[in-house]
Amino acid sequence: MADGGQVAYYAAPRPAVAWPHQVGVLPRQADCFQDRAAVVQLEEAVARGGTAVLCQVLAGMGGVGKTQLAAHHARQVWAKGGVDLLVWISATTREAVSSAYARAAAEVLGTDLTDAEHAASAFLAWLEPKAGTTQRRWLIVLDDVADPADLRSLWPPASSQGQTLVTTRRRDATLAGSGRRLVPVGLFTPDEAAAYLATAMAIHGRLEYPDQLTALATDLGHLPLALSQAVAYLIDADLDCAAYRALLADRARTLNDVLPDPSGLPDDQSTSVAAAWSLSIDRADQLPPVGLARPMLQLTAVLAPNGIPTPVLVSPTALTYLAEHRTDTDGQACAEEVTAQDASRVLRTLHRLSLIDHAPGNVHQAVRIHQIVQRATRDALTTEQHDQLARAAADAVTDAWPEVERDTALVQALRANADALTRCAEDALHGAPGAHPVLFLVGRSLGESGQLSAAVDHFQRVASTAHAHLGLDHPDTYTARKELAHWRGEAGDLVGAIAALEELLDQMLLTSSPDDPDILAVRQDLVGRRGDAGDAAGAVTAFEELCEQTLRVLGPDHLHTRVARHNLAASRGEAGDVAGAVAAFEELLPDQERVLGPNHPETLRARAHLAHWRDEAGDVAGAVAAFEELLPDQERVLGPNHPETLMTRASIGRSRGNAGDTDGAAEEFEKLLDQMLPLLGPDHPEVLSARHNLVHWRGQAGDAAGAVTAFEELLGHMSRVLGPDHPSVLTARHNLAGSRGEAGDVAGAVAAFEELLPDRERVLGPNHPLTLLSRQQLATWRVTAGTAGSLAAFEELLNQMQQVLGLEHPFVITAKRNLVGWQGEAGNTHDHPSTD
Amino acid sequence: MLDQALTALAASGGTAVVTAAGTDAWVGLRQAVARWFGRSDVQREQAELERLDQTGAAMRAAAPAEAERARIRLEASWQARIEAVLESLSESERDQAADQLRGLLAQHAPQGPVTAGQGGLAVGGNIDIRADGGSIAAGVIHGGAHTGPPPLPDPSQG
Repeated sequence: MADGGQVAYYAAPRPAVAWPHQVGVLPRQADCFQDRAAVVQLEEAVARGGTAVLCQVLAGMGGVGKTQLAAHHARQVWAKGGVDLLVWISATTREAVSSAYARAAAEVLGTDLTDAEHAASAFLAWLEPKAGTTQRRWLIVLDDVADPADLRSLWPPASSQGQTLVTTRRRDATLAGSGRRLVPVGLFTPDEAAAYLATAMAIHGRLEYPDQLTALATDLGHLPLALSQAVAYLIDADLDCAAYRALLADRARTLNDVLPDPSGLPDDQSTSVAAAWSLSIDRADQLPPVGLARPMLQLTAVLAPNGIPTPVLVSPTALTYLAEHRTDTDGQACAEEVTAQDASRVLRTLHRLSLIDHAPGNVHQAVRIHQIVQRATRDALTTEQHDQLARAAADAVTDAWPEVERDTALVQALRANADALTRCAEDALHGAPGAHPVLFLVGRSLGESGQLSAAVDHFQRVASTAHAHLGLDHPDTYTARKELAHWRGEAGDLVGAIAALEELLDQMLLTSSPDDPDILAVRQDLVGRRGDAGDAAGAVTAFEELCEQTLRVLGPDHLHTRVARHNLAASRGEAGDVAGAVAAFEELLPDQERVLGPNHPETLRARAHLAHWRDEAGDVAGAVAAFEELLPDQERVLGPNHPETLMTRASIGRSRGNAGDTDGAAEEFEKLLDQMLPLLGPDHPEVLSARHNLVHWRGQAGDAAGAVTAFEELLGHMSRVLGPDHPSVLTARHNLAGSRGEAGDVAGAVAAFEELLPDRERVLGPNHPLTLLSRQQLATWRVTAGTAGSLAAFEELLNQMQQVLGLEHPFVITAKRNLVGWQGEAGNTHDHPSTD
Repeated sequence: MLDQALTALAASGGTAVVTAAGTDAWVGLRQAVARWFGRSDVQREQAELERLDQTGAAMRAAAPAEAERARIRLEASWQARIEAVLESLSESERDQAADQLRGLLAQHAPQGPVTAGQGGLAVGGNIDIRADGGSIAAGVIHGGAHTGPPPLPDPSQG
């Protein structure tokens, strides 16, 4: 037994304590205490504790209702007569705990209060289990422990007759020490939140639509404190749910504007939502590394509440922001250097104080933060501070963006963070000095990951916002419009893309010289799109001009010059000069390797294009080898889901088919389609292309009748998505016609090719290789049908093809072999039946 | 200038020679083609036999990766040689030689279904120059020229 108080203890007459006895005041039960999963969890924790764990620590962020839970538990135990002594202590400081113990000693033991420290010790000693005496059963609640250190040597002892319940925002490891069980308290679940709101509104005679209540609960992040204060406000202001939500969504208002002032707080709450965390932030700022908690919390307050990747928060820009906004213990600015390690430590500190959730193992979503904490943190900033913060956070996201997006989970998280940033700081990101680069990264990343319509929508928004903030002729407005046109084209709207680029070019030419690099860039796009839309010969001429111009204006190693060379090489191939394309890519590749290095995505792309044109030129085996060598490099540099990696796999499938392995080709496209569909969706041009290939190779593998049906279905889908004159749609018609013939309907094949030819000539011109190929097919099927004069017509066509395409063009080779076959067949049938 | 029927004949002749190499048709075709080139000159016929054997050897020696390229080159060179012979002849000799060539091809050319390479398509492949926040910063090629739309079927007519 404690020694100091003994004299007084024995000298004074023992006070008559009436059992059960309560010391301290329990907080009032909330008007609509919401029964929730956490109640059960707490009861389970108490029950599971048995005799071993008699101390439960309720830990969670401010406002989740820890105190209400503890009070609920205490009331229930009391009501059931489960304890003789209930002590409720507001444990915000060591002194508060110690004096509460002293008061308990005075009430229970009659100890003299003049020596509070001795009285406290006497109380703790009384709590100790002692053999051979009748022990009183007790429950001590230490509510809102601010610092575990405050409880040093003040922890109630472990006793089979006693239970200790602690509530705290801290989750320091020391709190979960031996004999104590940590019970995390989270937010309401969506159902609990909706049930709470419905009840709280109902007791005020208000009926709201359930969907409005659910939406309000979501707006407030299911945070119990915020929900209760929101109800108090909207009842007081006589607003309905929808009107209140509109107020809440108004970014010009602070939380203080839309929640009750301290005089109107419900349930005897002592702090407004906005102030709920300020003490925690102050304390976090005092912990080492000193003065970084607040600026770090600010950075997290403008990013994605559901997951901020670690690299963003330890990026150079983030560290600079932390250093520039660091304060010393007196709150004075002190710009000391901040390391990545400091940044990680301050995240731990914020986590210990339940201001954020920090899971360092989950790199992509390392930090989560409640949206209302974010809002309260942002509210504390001036507009100028807020804008500065938003641009710093945008820089940090940009810093963390990988040059090559092979880690799709990381990039997805970065896009979510940029989106969150745009939502809370759209003006800051679009205004002077210009549209923030992260806006462009997000859009391109969307497009490159195959979300083409999302990319189009994104750039539509960036373009109109940039226009509004920066003006029509600002370079960033131009860039956004160029990107918008680009992704429209990628999404298959070639006509719209061409019109948009023409309009953009006209506008830029009003103020810039034709040699301006930005103008040259837009022209590259425009020429490329015209080529895509079928004007292959025009594209060659235009790219030749662009090549000369970029070389003259910008020099041989400039990006634009290499890009123009690449485009020229490809357009030559498109226009039928396959050997020219191979030669041009063979010449370009070493220059790309020299300027960019062997692992640069553009170098890999030049390799892919070279392999492609080798394949086209008939070097199937060489092409397959080149593609197979390229694939692991692309998987390593670009990742396995990158569109260009997928395209190389498609090329391998196609080359295999060309080499005769039709089953292998079909199988490859089947696998590819499985992988692409969830990634790109059914309307993506590359997905349509993969389907086209699959149907084709299945047909080649023997199922001609199945191919007819499948092509008819595919053609309908492609016409809808791409438009009836799209070159790919014409190709599908070509293939459908051919498969009709292969399925035995020779007359149908002839008729279909006759119908296709005028469209081919109109869209691609009479000398386009594909037009010639369709003519060759028509001639072939006419020979098969035995049409008079068809062989002579075929010979005439072969000559024309040799003149236009050259002797070694694959289409020419095909035609020659057909002719040889017919000659052999003629010999076989008519003159030398036994020759073999 | 040869008329289109003769040009086509030369084209199919060149293809037939190379296609026959390594098949059962080779022995008969080799002899007939050498005789056609020799035009009753034994020495010239012997030289053609050697040239034909070189073609046969080249086809056998070509690594699988090279075979298609080698074949296309050899076909073009035999096509050119046939055209040269036809062009060197007078009109009457030319018609006679053409008939002979047609006949020997009908007799000796490898037969069976026409197995021609698939026609392929390429699309896209234009590079888009990218700007970052106003300044042109990176060039990115879009679209996969290397796959493009699907291959075109070629009817396997027999």
